[in-house]
Amino acid sequence: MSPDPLQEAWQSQANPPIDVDRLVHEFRQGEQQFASMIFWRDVREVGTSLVLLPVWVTMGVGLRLPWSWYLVIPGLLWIAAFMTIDRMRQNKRRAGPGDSLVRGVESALADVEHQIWLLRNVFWWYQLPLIIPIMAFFAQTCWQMSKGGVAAMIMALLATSLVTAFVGAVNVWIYWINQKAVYSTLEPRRRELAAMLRNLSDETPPT
Amino acid sequence: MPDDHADILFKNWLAGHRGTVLKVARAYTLTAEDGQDLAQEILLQVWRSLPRFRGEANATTWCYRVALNTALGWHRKERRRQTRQKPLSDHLPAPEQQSTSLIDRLYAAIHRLPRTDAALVLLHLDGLSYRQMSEVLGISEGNVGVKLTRAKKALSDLIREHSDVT
Repeated sequence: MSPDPLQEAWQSQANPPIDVDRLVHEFRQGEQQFASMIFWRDVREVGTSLVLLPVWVTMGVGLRLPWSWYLVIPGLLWIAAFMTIDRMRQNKRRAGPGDSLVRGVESALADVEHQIWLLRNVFWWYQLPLIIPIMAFFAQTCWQMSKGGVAAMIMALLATSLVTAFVGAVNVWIYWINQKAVYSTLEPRRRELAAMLRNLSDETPPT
Repeated sequence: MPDDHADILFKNWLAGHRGTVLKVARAYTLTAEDGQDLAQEILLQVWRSLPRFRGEANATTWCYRVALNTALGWHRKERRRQTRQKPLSDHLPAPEQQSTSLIDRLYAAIHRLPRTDAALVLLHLDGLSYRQMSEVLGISEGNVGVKLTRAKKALSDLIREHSDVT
């Protein structure tokens, strides 16, 4: 089959030269920066929970805090384990750059849908495991304070209310920024990828 | 793999497939700067993946897969590379201004196609067979035929429309 005029014109395009040595040099530099960025991202997201553990224990022992103080530790461990396992599972499922377009789009779509799921459920896997032990600690502390008479009871109630309001406000804010990311960034991307996949898989003949 | 060997592999690959990368980059971006960024992103993906390329797929098919997968997932703001000091090449074509050459009209038309149809049109224009196209896209050869007929018609309409305007 002889090529059509469009193909002939297309294939006659000149290929401008590229400075390969400089490019490779930049790639090597970029790889080091990329590896460093990934490392610090993991440290920030997973390591924060782990770094808090000795701090928590030291504070608990040093300040002779009640047993409910230590309830935060399982929460921190849960978050670190959840994020690590989730990231490993997602990396395994991800398509490589040399996979077919359908596989690439399917993988990107699954990735975005998983991110949406994570952010929509951030309250259950990230916020609640910390809210419960923190509130349990303050409830126990206030209960102990309230045993000192009516004035102490009023102070304890006031303190509990303030702490509850503060923890509530922080968590509403965390939840809100996560949902904003879903609606402003992830949902449009999900729709775009779903449309691409539909377009690729649609076998309806032209009319 | 030693760095030198990886570099030689990449340089040899680039000698044969540079044109594909630059065409895909230009087809999926609207400005020369974005085109340079996307071309560099594609080359980075190739540079990372090439040592793992075992030759199960044809080299042309593999090249298109990497280039198109990168182009479809590329977002201008997210992907702007901070490390690049100089342009990828001083000789890349400028973005379309009022040029009316057939190549420019082709790129202008491709920019207006859906992104997956643009991929199919690029493969067709480079003369890939239905089998190669189906391997790149991951769809059946029959489906390639169906889609290509539709995409070629859309491309012709867009080129005609562009010619009428200019």
